[in-house]
Amino acid sequence: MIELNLDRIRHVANLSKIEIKDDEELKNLSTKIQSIVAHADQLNELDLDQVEPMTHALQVESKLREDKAGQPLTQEEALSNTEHTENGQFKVPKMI
Amino acid sequence: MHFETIIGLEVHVELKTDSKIFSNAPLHYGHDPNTNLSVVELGYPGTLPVLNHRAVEYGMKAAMALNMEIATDTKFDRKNYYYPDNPKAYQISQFDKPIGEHGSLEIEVDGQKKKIGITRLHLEEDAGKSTHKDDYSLVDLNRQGTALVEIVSEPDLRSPEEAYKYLEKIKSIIQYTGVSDVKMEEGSLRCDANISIRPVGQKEFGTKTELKNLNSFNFVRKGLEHEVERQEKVLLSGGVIEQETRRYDEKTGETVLMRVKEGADDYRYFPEPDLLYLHIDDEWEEEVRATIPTLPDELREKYINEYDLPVYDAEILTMRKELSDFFSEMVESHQADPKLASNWLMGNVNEYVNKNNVAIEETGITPENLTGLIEIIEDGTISSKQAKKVFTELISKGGTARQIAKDLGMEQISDPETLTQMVTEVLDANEQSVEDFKNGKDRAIGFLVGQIMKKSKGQANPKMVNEILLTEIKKR
Amino acid sequence: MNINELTVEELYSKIHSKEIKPSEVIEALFNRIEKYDGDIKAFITLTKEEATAKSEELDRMQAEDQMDQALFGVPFGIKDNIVTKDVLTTCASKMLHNFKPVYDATVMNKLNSENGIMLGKLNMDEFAMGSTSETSYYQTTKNPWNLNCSPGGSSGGSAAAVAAGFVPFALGTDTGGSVRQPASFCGVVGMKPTYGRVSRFGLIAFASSLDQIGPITRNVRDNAKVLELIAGEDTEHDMTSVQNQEIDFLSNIDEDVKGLKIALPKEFLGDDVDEEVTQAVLDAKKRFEDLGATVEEVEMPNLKYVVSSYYLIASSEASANLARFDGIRFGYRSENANTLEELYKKSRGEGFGDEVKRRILLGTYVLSAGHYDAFYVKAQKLRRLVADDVKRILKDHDLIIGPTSTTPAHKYDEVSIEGTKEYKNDILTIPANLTGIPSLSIPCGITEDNRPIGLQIMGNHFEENKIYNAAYQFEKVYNLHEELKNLTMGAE
Repeated sequence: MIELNLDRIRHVANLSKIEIKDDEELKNLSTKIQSIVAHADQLNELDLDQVEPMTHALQVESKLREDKAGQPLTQEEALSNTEHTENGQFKVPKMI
Repeated sequence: MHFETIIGLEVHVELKTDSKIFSNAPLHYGHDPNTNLSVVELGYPGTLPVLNHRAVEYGMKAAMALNMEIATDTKFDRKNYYYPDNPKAYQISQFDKPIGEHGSLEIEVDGQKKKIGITRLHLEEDAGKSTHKDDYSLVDLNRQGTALVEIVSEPDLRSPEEAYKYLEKIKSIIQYTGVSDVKMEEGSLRCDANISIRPVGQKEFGTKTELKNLNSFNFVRKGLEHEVERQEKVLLSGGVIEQETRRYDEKTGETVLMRVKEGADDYRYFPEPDLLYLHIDDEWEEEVRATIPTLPDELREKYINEYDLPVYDAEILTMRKELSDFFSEMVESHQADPKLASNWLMGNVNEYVNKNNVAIEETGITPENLTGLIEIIEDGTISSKQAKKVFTELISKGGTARQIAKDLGMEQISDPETLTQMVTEVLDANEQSVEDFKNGKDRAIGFLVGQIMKKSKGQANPKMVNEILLTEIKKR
Repeated sequence: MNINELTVEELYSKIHSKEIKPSEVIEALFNRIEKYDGDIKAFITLTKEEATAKSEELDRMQAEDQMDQALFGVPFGIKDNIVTKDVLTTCASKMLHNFKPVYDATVMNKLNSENGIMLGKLNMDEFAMGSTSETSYYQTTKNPWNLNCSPGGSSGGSAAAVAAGFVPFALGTDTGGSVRQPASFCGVVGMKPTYGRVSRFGLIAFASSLDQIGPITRNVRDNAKVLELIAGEDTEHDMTSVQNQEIDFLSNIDEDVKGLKIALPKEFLGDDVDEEVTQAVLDAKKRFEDLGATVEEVEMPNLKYVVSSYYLIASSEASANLARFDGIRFGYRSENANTLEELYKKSRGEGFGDEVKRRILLGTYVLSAGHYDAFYVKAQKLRRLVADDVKRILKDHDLIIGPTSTTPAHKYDEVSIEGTKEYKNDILTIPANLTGIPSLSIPCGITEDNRPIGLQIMGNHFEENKIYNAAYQFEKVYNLHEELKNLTMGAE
């Protein structure tokens, strides 16, 4: 069985860019995750070697889009859901 | 200790489609920020990617031109990472089933031909652009969602020069297929390099560094050269190469550390559920294959073997499709002499195009009128000196060479009857000189020619005047 | 006449015959909403102004006999994870507390062009993650049958609004049972269509390969009608929307079900299922048999693994789908960030609720280096086995039936809500999502303490018409229509 310890969850939170305030929050979030992961161990009962993974609920032929340009959003529309803009661009804090 | 250099290149090429790879937002270079977007490029909640047919075909075309096998079943995956110019925080790319695999191309360095393996070519979406200010950054997403192919070479390149040639070859092949502008200065061709060195004779690869920001052909060569030197210095001084990402600084000409890689990045690839598997059947593959024009290597051989061009000429002419198209049309449709055509194209035409920074098709010169120019030089209508003037007119204004020569009043008199008439008149008027000549005074002929040229206001064809003059004197 | 008791078809025909005006309908329903929604808490956002303006415009068109559209004047509600242009779309999350989309979902375009009138946006579990509607950042919706009970979820607001007579129909979304389970808890009809039947463009994704939008209505015919209106390919916006499938769910709905072959997997009546639920489903079996159908017990051996498979797949997809909420272009942005890294972590840490965080963390873990094969790939393989089970059963049978949920609606004083027992309740609805088949929940009974019980009817891909036909015949012999009309909407 794969163990999912708190350090690992902290690492995963880092990958997911989710701040975890303190150990209490970490624990609160972890309990259920750990129990699902523990439960998922049941999949190891099955012999799945010869089974092809199924990534889509329905396998149909895809029809591709014709390469035709449409009307783009205006700059105003593109920026309409944030106040943090400058010169028509999205403004973000310094990288480091 | 002698070292061997190992280089692999990752080349990104933006495809020249009308709309983005996953939406109908238009593609433009240099527009106002955030004006070429649909909700898809913004990564808006609720939006879904819809794959552009032409982007797939262009990807196939590029892969085929690079001698790759085309996947029968291909798919897209999500590559997860956070960055402000990556609005969904995942890039739709291809992980384990790229559209093309196992390709190669040939380069020539110092007269030696060498085959360079190409591991894979995959389709993906381009990211936006961040501009960094002192204490914040600005993000323009216009480039987001531009169809992109990434072409990954095998670690087959053994010198910066080989890398340079490889990149040059990729650029020319892709340019021939017409799927991209491949302009490094506009970012439609971009290049990262993996580079390592090892003592000659050692089998294992050394630790590699990744080199970014190679924004021009020159930087590719210089950046790699510097990085080779740097790695040699480190090893010779007993140090070790760290696995890291470095950037070429064009101001100092050196490579600078960007970040140290701590193990592999965890991109958490998984199959993109919003896009279905893409099946490429033989019929579609052949349909696309049929649209690939003759590629530079093949043309080059043809120019050398069939048209007897020097290797150098053949290479220059096949760097860009416009040039070889122009040349081929001159030779094949208008029967121009290949070497003369090549001389004009590589010489005056090239000079003009470069100096004025225009494309050949934007000038007045055409395969037909340049061939016409060569013709009137060859048939003696104008002299090579006059030809320069005619060419200047021709390339700036268009038209035909013959008409321009005529308009400039430089057409030679080559009509035998007219010339004979002139000669007769001059001989009649200078009987003493005819006599002198017959008595062995060769100088007299010069005087007579001068008189004829004077009479024709310098337009008589000198070669013909000489011939006719001698014939007519003999008759007397 | 109580306008709130009218179905989609009744409203449509009364408006069409000019018996009532669209504005009268809107007014009556807003009155009812104002009276009861303070307790029920189905709506997050009401669009009264827009709805009233539109109804007045439709009044004029009605006067001029311009009533060609199929939903002319019919009001509806929309789950708040479906994007509505210029109307707040929150996903019941603090993360989208200020989000006003610049575009309409495809289903919204369709409903609007049929001249339906949206009354507002409906509560749900945050980002559709949950099955009680309690994980909403804004409010907890109450079950109109009993205010001490959950309406289920995640489309709890949608089901409650329809049961409470606020709207004759609502759209919900179903990733693991989120339309069917609340429909079952609220005594209404809810459909999860075949994956690909309805465009997902404008549905804020939870798990892309499982999500489908579906109608919630008070009766079967309304449900079939609404699905006809929202179904169809959307080649411009959604590559997973399926083309060239017939959309006709009503023309055979009156046919009898004699000779219909129905399967009842024995695992669907396992130990986890409440006794009263089991009894109601066995009653339903009997009713189908009385109607001339055969009901045969079959096996679905891999059912016990579906919850694991579902959680791994749905959370993986969600971890990527919800990565775009980074505080930069839309949504919640932390005020406390000085660097980019802080902007990401604080915006997401403060903007998402616990359940959403859990699923993102789980999904990230499942996809991370070293675990992908052990979890993600295995889950997708199990999915194949379930699909094979379903295929095998539907080779010999027209439909599969079973309970929608192992239990009726939870009481709020029950400890189990959002505990580990709760997500095992999804076990019966998950197979339809994993395999993409359509599945409908209709009322098939009621507990002694007056909580509705839902029957699930599943069919083959794109055979919604068979499901509707069987459900409609069943509804003729069993329904809760009168009970719905008489809901007092007070605490027990």
